[in-house]
Amino acid sequence: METDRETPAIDEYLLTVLSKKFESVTRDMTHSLLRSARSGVISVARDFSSAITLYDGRQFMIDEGIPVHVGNIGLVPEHTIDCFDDVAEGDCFLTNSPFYGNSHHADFTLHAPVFHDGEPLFWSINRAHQADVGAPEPSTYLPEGAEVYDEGLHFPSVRIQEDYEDRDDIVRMCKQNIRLGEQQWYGDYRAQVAAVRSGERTIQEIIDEYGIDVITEFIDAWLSYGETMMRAEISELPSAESEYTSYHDPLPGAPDGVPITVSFEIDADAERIDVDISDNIDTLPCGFNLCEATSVAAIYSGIFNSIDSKVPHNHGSLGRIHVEMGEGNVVGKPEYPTGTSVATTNICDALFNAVHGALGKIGSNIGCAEGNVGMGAYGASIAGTDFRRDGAEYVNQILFTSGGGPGVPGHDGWLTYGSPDAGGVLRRDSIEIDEMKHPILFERNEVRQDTEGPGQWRGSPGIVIEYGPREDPMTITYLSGGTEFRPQGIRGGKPGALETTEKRTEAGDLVELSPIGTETIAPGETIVGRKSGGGGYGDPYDRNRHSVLKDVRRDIVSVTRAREEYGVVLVETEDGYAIDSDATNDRRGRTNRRDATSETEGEPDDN
Amino acid sequence: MTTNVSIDIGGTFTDLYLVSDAETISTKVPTTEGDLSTGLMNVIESAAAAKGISVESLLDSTVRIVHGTTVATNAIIEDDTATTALICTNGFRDILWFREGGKQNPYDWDVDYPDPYVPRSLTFGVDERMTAEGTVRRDLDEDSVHEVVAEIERRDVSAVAVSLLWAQVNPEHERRIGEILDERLPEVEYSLSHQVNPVIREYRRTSSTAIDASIQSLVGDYLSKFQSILERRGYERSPLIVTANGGVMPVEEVIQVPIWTVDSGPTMLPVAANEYVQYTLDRANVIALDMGGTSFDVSVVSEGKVSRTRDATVGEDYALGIEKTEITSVGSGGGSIATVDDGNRIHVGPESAGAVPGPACYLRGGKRPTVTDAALVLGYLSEDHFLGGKMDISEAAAREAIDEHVAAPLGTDTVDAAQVIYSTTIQDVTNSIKDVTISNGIDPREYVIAGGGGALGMHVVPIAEAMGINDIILPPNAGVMSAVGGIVSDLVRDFSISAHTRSDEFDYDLVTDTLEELRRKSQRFFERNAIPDEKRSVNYYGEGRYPNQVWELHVQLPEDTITEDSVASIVDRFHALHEDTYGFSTDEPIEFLAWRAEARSRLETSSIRSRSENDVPDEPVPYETRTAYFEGEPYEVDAYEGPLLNVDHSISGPAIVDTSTTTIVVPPSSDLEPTQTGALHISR
Repeated sequence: METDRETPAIDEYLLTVLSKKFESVTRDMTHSLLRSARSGVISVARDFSSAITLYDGRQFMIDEGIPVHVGNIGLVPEHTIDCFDDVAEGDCFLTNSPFYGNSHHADFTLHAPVFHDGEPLFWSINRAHQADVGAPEPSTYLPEGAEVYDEGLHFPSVRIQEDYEDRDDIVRMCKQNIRLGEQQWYGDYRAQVAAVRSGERTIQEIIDEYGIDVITEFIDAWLSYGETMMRAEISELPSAESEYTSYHDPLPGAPDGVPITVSFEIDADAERIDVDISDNIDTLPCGFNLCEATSVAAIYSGIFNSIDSKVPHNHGSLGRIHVEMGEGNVVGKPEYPTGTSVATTNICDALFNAVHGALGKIGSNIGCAEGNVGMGAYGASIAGTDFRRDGAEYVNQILFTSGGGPGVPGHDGWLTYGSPDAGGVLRRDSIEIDEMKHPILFERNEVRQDTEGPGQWRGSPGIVIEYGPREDPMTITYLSGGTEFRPQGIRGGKPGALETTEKRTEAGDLVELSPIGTETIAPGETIVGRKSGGGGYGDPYDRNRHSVLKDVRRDIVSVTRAREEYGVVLVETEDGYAIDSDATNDRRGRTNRRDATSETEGEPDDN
Repeated sequence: MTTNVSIDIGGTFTDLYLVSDAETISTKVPTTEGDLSTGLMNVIESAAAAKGISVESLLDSTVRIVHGTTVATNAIIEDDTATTALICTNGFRDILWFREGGKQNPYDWDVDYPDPYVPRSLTFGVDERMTAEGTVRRDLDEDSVHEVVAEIERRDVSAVAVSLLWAQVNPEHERRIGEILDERLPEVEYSLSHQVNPVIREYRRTSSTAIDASIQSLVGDYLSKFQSILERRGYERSPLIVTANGGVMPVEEVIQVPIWTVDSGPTMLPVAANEYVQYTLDRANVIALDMGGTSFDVSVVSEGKVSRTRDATVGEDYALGIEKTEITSVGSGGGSIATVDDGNRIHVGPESAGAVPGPACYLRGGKRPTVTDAALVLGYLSEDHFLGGKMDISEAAAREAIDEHVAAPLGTDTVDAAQVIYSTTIQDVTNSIKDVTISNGIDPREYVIAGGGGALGMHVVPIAEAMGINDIILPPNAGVMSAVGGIVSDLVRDFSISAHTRSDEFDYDLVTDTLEELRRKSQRFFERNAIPDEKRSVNYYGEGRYPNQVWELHVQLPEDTITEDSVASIVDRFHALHEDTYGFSTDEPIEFLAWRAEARSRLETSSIRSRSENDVPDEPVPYETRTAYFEGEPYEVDAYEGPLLNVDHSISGPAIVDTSTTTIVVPPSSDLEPTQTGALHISR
């Protein structure tokens, strides 16, 4: 092995082989946690990420976790090595405080140092969204929580295991403060620890197999590989400057809505991207403010969404993106003790949308329209007691999809997108599993007609969901995000529909609910969430007319909307609808919006 | 004399493998597209001729004809199934379109969202609702059913899938809809979810049901025709059809549950691999591998039991939902193309040159370097003796492709570049084996590798080395392997019932009744198929988890009755299994969701025959010497002809063995030994 390393080919071989080995470490951690965790939010929805960083915190390897965890996970160990000068093998630390590098307090980030011959080399890390974190309300999102004191437990780099054993005092504290601490939290915690330890063990095996010299060389090679790949990608983008503002619904302190502005400078020659988010309003007196981790994740992921997905997400590639952020703004670094419990969704989604929009304005097959924002009724936290289990308490976040994928160059919006922070990664709950676990009954969960943002590549429609408790009241906490500002289209694309949240009373009347709130729903009542649709990409008059017909046949788009928004005129036939070609040509041509039609051609499968 | 026959109808060739008391015969005729009868009779006539007897006397002595069909799989992939409608609970029309969410590569947006298996325009809700406990929340509104039926009648629909929420717990409403369909649309085939796949999770159950409905008539027609062709020539038994759980079922049985024929072909690989390993080494832990031109398949056999999965899909997008044999596939094969990216990292596959244009060395127009080209440059393959010398290949063309696309960008010489391609392939396939072994708590070092496929022999020893495995069994050839699997496989049918209970408040009556019902179903299955008592065996499984977990583990029950002792033993087994699989266990009670019976009848003992002694030299004699590279070092290596090796001919590496279908590379510090079964045993 020693002599082999001298030749460049063996270096390339090691780069390939070792990177695959480290990739499989994070994959194994993920696989194990997914199947063994308790709460639906981890084991079904997959709201977690597994990662490896260098001991100094530089990002090394991350699994295909949710985008809002990408590019920021190294901030957590960075703080931990600041706090401790006695980090030892067998330790495991818990951080959930956004002031110590975390995303928001609902994500528990467990990180164990990986030692070799007494030297710490890596961190094995797992971050997972907890079903509960002992907040004043039975939800992990506290919309009104303006300060950390409103949020529940904060762990700023706390040693939770020593010598591979739990520190019982810390664990006891968690069990005591977190709802279902014994039954649910501790099971999830054990599964997380098992994942982190399996990562640690496997990394040590790799080091033993190849020797520390080869591994040290590989670390440099892997990071510079990331840099080379990223430079190559940026060099193919157009050099340009761009600015985009996306709007979030009104929040406490921002009654007219929250503008989120991003400015971009792509320098293809220098192969670097500069992003500035410092020109934004001050932090708001509520829980929606972002933290450093979620701000950079939105920017990194927003860019990664537009380039070759094979570029590794490591310190080398991240280093080509320079972020300017302010302190004390609604995005960027908050000042202690600003509340950030909702830092991963609503405003974060608006920041993603602004990044996608700024790139979309530059064009040339990058960027996309705006996607759905927030966690409406489809992703609410539910709590109550279960009549089937002697009144046992339950608390969990349910997660169905919101729809709402933005139109992207060449493709319609992804149906189970959800929101930009999750990027479609989150799995969708099973109706039956949720009804078995909790005393809940779903009335419907379907695609919502005429909500897609029209475009040459249309946005995905939103969904409608309706559910309620069976015999005892249920507390439901939800955070809508598109009730006043629609997900916007881009490059001629149109916005998706607005979101509404209502309560259906026992008498069957619909009562409008506040867009963000905690409601107690009584048996016989239901909550009805109608989610917005994703924005469209490109002129809807350029959309393939057969694709419009297909959407009409499957009740996604009405006949009227096909005519009004897409200029496609349909006539009713014996077995459904057919395109009136002349009328469509007439209507599409009559607008004089272009010299010649640039309609997408070809016929989609009739499904 | 008794004869067993296995028939495999592929796109190009129809293969027949026959085992009778004295001999094995394998014949091959061209597949007759669109004319099943001619192709089938041709291959039987060819086998009879090879045996020197008439077709009638061959069929007369035949006790078992096994057939693996791809008719359902192909129809699904080519979108050629019956036009199918779906009836669901009102308000849940998009179960098949939403699927279970999740997106494979979060940053790749150059993709279309997949359409649902049944179009939304043919999906209809009916008014009804059951609860999780199976109580009726809303009665079935029969008027709404009649409206839907009227709409289905109006459309050109020939099959109907019915999948209502919680039908696996209370099937009353599904049954009623079935009755209405019988009355109103007697000519339309239908499938009911509680019969096809009575499991919790509406997407999986609905997907199984939709697929089942859409292939009912085509599978039924095909198999009935297959049977009647044989009947006309005097074969009166029921042909056995290979199923997705690695077993076989008689035609009459399988046409009731056609979904079990989907993607059933590859399930014979682990069955055959297990059989060979059992026979030659008397061991029961096997990693079965198949490496062909475009893909690498892995499946695992532990203590003689083949791993199963509920996550299988057909094509990329459609969940099968049934618990089929677990076969993991990655895009690594002899035709996989090597590329170097901007950062000088090498990638091999999943893009494949296939057979056309093929690897660069085939000279069929392929210009890009493949795994086969790398093997040729490394001296593992020979220009003169590739596939027994039947095919011309060019090392110069392989070198040119590797130089241009790999060596030049990396700045290395051709051999180093070839070595990188080879090693990357080994790493990729090794990762895929680890995903199904170590990731699932299986220690591969206790396993034997067995398998086939044109490209496996060149890679298998380094794969075994990377996995820490010492023994490899390579049966004569992969085509025969599947056929052997068919002949030795058991008659198997699975039954499952949802019944919820917990270990700390165990409902003995419920579980006793459930097992009783499973036993009845199994007995009826045995009786229908006239299985004698001594050949019947039923294994029972409980699907359990810790409270609040979401995914279940399957624990085999120690016995078929439930007592306090057996519950204690089930609990112990669960904790141990959880520890093995996920690295921890707790002392919590266990929640059981469902129970499953695997009814099995072994029809025949081993059918692997000893090979006859060849007329060969006393010592193994190499037919040529090649320069081959191992770990970058050149060696002068003896190459042997496989058919000329005899049982006492053991060979030490480095060495190469060529056969008419593959090449086996034996690196330094490993040994190869032919065995009585015709399989080669490599140890390292």
